[in-house]
Amino acid sequence: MSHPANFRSLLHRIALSDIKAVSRYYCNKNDENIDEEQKRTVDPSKDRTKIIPVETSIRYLESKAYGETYGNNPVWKLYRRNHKGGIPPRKTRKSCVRGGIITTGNPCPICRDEYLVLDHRNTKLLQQFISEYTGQILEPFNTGLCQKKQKELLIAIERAWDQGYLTYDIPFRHYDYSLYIKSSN
Amino acid sequence: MHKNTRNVIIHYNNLQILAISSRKLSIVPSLYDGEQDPGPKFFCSGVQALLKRLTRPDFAKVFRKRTNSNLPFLKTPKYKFLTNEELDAEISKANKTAAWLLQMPPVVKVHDPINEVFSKDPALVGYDSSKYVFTDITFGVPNEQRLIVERDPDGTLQSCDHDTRKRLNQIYFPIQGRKVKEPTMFSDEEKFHGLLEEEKYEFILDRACIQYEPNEPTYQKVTSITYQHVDLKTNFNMLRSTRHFGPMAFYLTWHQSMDNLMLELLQTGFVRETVLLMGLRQAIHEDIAFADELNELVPQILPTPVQLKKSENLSEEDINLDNKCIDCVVKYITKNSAMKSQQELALQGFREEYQQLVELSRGLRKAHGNV
Repeated sequence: MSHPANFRSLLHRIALSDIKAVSRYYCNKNDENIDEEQKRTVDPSKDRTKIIPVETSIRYLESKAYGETYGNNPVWKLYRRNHKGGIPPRKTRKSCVRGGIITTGNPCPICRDEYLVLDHRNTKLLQQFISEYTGQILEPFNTGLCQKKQKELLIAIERAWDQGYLTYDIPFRHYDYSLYIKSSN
Repeated sequence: MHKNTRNVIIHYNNLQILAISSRKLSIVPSLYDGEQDPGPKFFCSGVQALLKRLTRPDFAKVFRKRTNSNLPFLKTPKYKFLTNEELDAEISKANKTAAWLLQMPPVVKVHDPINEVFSKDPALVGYDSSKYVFTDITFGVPNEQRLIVERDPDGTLQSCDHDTRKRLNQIYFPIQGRKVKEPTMFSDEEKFHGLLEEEKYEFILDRACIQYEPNEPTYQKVTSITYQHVDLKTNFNMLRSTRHFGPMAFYLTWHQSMDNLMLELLQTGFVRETVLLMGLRQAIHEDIAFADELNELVPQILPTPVQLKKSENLSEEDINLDNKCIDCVVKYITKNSAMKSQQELALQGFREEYQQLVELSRGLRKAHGNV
């Protein structure tokens, strides 16, 4: 019925639609495969999409499970980083969690335990990262925290100090009495 | 932290109604903003000596390890062999360091508002929609005398108010430990009362000292609520041997509410300090009937060493002095006290205990042949 040119274009169109159908079919099959794989291969212990509330974390730190896992040590004490050579790199890894999943073997002390939540109210956990001798926040080089968690830790501790959840020794202020005696006289 | 809610279950016609009431502390702050200026009284040498002695400095607490040096390492202790003279020199150095650490934050009245206008230039209206603030950042000028002025959009050139001055001084010449934005623990009532409930008085007062000037209304409000809370819960021991006990004793005496402190001193058996407290009241208000006796007794007590524990070896002079103190206390309870019955009871208890101590020390001296 159609002209040769139209017929060619018709043929083209049929071929294209065929390819599209095939490719669509192919894509669908691929997508389904990927979904199934993802659903299959996400290890629940590596899943970090669920947000644990702070209150749960505070209760966890008083629980028997925590005691059995960590004892009297701080949570970072028995953690050892994996690296080449004798001296570890100065900076720890950027982050242990990517896309809601732990993407490393040997995650940092906070990322490996989902019930350790860094929050300004969770003083018992924050206190483990503050030196009892100098009152300074411990470096990630020593504790092994990933950079993202270290930043969260710094923010939580600053907030706790600001709101009074954590106390610290205030720098000493000396007064010049002469300023006040003059003004009162 | 949020421990100030009380859950109350009410039974009404067989219905259980759960009512949650918020039990907030009803402490009313009181500032030194009246006609009377506490400054001259506070800085008077007699009052300073009384306050320093009332803090009862315990060197173990004064020289405790603090973590505010910001050094990442600790210093190892040094052990030295000293002659007697060198030892005396070291002891006097330690006394001076203790006096430095126990320096009391000044008690002064609230500062007057600043209203100085330099010029009014209505010709400048419409130049800009915002204020301009000019700060003189010459080094060596004290922060209180620094020239900080503002040009308002309506053309007035005037001196800045205290809040702006403080903010700009902190930006250009920061004091370590002070924040430009007010810490939440002072601005938020719940956080502040939470800290008071946890009895972290030293932290609150130290931070208030460094965050505010002593003549600021916020500082006076914070300190007054803290002192009243300490008074309510009778937690005086937490502030002893710190720099804050003196201003607290001064505050309580100024507002005529030192009877709880007097009671605590009697119950723990420190009669000499009770007399010193009476001396403080006399110095501030001059309303004690037996003032002459008091003025004779106080200079006798001040040179005696600070007693941290009850001593067993009481000499005859000590016993005489203590008996005179007890006489003064009896007079105070009958004439000037507001908690008569409790203080009388405490005094009675102290008298019995003291009698035992006197007998013990006299017996010991006799046994050692020192009569």
